[in-house]
Amino acid sequence: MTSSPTPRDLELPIPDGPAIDPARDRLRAQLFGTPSSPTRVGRFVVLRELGAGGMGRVYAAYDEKLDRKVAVKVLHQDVASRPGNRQRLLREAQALARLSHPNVVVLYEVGEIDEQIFLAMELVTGQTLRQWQTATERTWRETLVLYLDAGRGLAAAHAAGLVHRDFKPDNVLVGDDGRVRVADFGLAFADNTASTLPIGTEVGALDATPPCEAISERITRTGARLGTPAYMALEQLRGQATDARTDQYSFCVSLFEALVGEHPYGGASATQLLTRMLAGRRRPVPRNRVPRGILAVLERGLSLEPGDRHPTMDSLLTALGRRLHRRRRGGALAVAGGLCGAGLLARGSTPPPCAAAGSEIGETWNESHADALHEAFVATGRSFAETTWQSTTQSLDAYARRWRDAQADACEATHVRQEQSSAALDLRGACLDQRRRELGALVDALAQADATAVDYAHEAVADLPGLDRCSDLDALRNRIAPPEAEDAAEVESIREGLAHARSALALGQLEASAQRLEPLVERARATAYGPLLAETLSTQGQVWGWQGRLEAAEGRLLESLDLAEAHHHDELAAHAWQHLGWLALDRLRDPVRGRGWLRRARAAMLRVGRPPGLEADLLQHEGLLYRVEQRLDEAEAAQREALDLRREHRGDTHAKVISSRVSLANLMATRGELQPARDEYVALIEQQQRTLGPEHPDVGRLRFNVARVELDLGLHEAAAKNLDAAVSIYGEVYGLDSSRLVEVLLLRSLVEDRRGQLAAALHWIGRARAIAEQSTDQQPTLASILTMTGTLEYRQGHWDRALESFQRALGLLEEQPEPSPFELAAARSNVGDALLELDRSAESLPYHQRALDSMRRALPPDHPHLAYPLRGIGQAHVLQGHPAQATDPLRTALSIFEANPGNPTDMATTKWWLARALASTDPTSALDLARQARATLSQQHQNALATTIDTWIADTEASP
Amino acid sequence: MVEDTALIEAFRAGDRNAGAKLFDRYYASVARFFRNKVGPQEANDLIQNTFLACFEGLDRMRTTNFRSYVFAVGCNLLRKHFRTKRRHPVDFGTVSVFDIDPSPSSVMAESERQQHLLEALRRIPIDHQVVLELFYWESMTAAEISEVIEVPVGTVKTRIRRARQLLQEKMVVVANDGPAAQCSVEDLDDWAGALRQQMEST
Repeated sequence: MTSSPTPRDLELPIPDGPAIDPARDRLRAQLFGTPSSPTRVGRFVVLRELGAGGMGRVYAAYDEKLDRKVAVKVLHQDVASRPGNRQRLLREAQALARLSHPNVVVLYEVGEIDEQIFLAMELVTGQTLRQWQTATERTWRETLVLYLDAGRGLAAAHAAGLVHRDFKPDNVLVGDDGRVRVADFGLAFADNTASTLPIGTEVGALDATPPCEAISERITRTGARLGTPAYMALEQLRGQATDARTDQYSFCVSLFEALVGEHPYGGASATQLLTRMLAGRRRPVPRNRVPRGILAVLERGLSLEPGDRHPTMDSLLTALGRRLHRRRRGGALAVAGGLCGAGLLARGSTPPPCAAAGSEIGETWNESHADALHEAFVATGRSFAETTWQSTTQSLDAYARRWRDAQADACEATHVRQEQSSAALDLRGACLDQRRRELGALVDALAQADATAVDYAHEAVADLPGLDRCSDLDALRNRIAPPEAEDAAEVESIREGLAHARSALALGQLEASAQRLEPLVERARATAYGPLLAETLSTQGQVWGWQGRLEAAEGRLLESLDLAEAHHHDELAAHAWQHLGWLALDRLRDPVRGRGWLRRARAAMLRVGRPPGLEADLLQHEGLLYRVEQRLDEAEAAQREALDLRREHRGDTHAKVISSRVSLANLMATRGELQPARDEYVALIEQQQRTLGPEHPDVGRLRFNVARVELDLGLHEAAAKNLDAAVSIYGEVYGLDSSRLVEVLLLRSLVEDRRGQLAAALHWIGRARAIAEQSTDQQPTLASILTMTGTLEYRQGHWDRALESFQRALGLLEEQPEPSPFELAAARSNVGDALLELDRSAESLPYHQRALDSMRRALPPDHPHLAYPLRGIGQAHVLQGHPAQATDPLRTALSIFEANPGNPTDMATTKWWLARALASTDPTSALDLARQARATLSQQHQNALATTIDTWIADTEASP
Repeated sequence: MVEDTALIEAFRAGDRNAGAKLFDRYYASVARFFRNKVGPQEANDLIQNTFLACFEGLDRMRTTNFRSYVFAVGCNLLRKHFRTKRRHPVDFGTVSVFDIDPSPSSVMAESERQQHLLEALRRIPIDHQVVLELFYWESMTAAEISEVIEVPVGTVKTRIRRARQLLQEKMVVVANDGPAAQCSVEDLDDWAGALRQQMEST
């Protein structure tokens, strides 16, 4: 053991900051005539200068009137003389003067002398909190106790409506009496409100692209006056509104720094600090003795969004206080730990046993990796690359932090707390090594990201395997048998390859993943190590499933499950059953098989001790099953449970939480809870825009979903807006001819149709049709598109075009191996209708007849759809001069329409044709029917047909 | 960086700003020198008097080295101060700062170990403390130190060696219950190196 301390431990023994050495300033002034101290400030006799700062100079002075010593702060003239500042400063200072709290410096008086503002305050002998905390090593407990007091001072001021705006350890005094007092309240606004800085208007545009220079400039300017901007919250740096939560942020930065020894965002320069803050990139927390829980509480206070912080200082202090006391109640262990720590410190040179534990994560994920990702992301040209990069690296940072903590905890459990054996440490270490390998593979893949990878990046990080399992010793001890010694190296190598294949899968690079897996499966077979083969096959099955090779995928997954269960690879089995369930439900559309497999998945999940991540995934799949089975209550219950679990274990903004919320919103939409569904979609869009960028395809998908609901709510404008955005996003991401655009364009067309804009509707559906014509997998969709097109053309009165569209739709359906009989019939009926309008009644009759025949085979005789071919047949007979043959079909059609009131025009036209059929045999009924039809049609603004009927009625009445 | 000599020339020619620059350059060194030897108020007085004397007597400056000059003036003032304080002659070769005023250093060290070093320095004879500080803190050569304290270079070298031994002994006294007791003179070299780096960067 070496005892020699490193020279780097040692620093200049005399901390002589120029600004806080009044003797120096005085001497300099004496020698060279630079400003020196006044002898009086009003009735206050200056005794000596205490310090000079950005805002002004502070003197120890004697108050002749009240015969006591005070501290007098004289503000720099330029601070006080800015327009508006003076009044606000005086007003706030007077409010502070009314505030009396043991942890706030007493302000006796505020006034003006010779156009200078001065503040007379309680003179505190002692040191600043910064001096206190750097003078010697402090335990986290000592530090926390003092900061809690300072925090109470802040809270009291907040309660009085005051905001400090410049909280930092230099502005907190620790008196020789041990009392902590917050000083310099409310002075900082003079420099920190938008109103005093013209760039306040520029920074309003920050949400889109941060004008970095503007803020840098601000930092420099404020920095010059206020010292370091390191404690300012982002909203303050931006010149936006500040409130109590701004102080909370500064408080948390100060306390974090005091406890951990580093600024949470760090950075050597103001610009660097800002860059990290805007990117939300916290520095990895160095090893420390501070309880995790305390740092977690601080982390919330360090949120960049004020809304994400603790609601008030009080709630922050309560949370911190709880940790303090919990540890105290912890009793012997905590105390022993503290003593042990002190001993180690006194010896100075020996690092604590686990100080470096977990630091190897830095090789897998570090700044240069983040830079490489940035380069790769931006190079894809995705407009949202920057935003996605930020959230992706944040998630990777968080994962790396958790990894390091887990490793350190494992080490401490063995070497410090001595709760577990070395063997247990090895188990945990091996598990964590595997996790690190997965992380490394993903980082590699992200560093070579293509555009698709950027689309999936955030989700892929969220899908990294959880770390909790690596501290679950029961699970680790029951793990699968290791490979034979001679296989070990090959197994390692295959696992490495597998990690890369999984990363490719997570990033949507299916082909790359499939290619990687091919040889791995063969190599895994050669090792005769079943668990590994099971893992490889399972991954291959997943990839094939996504590629649409459904039967093969199912086969692979089942083979994987045989092996997994034979070798007690329970966790893999739980995953594979789930994936099979998903395959059956989402791809094969086979709820019976899906239900069976999800039952196995549930049993497997329980067998491995119900890990929350796995359980939440399963609940989501079960929700899908119930939805397919139309058991919507149960579906909702399952999705809610999944959401709650994920919220609890992963935090509110995790990608899996978002995924759960989307599922729930979709479910609400299905249940017809349109307004709540829409509200949730809107919230999700906003959230995802922030996380992924406004042009991310996930945002496009949400916009499509919300538009569907908005269409049903009659919110056509909103729906059109969302769909236009979705079209533009999909066009940008997938290309303007991507088949993913088809459903969006169809919906867009439908919106115009509902608005009565037939031409616009035809325009949109024309775009959908153009894409569908080009792609091979869109033939069924193309048939529906053509049908919709024909319907629109028909309603426009373009019978010839409508006929062409209907005929093409029918042709496509007839080509299909197993066309839906009903769709086929409807298509025939459409063609027949168009022919009738074109006065080609003879040709139309067989279409209607065949449509009717096939519908009669498939549907009950009074089904509403039968009415259309029946009406067509009747119409054709009338036009061909066979009214007797027309009467029956038309009567049946009419009775069906009457039983199923839908579109009034349908019934009216049926009545009209029946009237024509009856004209010679029963003119009274015929006239009656014609009048009814006419009335309805004119109500429906079908004026052309109404006029025709008018003429017919007149002619019929006139004839004998 | 402008040479000290150029600043001195400028100051002599009436450029007060040049004087202020010299002052800024040496203030920290001088302050450090006194603050580890006397109480805060006395230190401020001594710093003040040193600079006043330096700039008033600049024309009479014999050496071309401002640093040596400042410390020569400072050393003389320090000796005078202690003599006045004790009201009889003081043997600076045997008496330490600690002997004169046993209250702890007013200098706040960054760490416990540093505190031990500072305290140990205060416990070796003043002549030894001074050479050691000039050698380590101010990075002066033996020749420069000989200008400051007006003894031959050979004596300075011997004194530095002796001072290191004495310091090591006092380290044991200061911190006989801690790891600092195990500190070697090699550590001191490292420490001084670190200090020098610090100072050059300031």
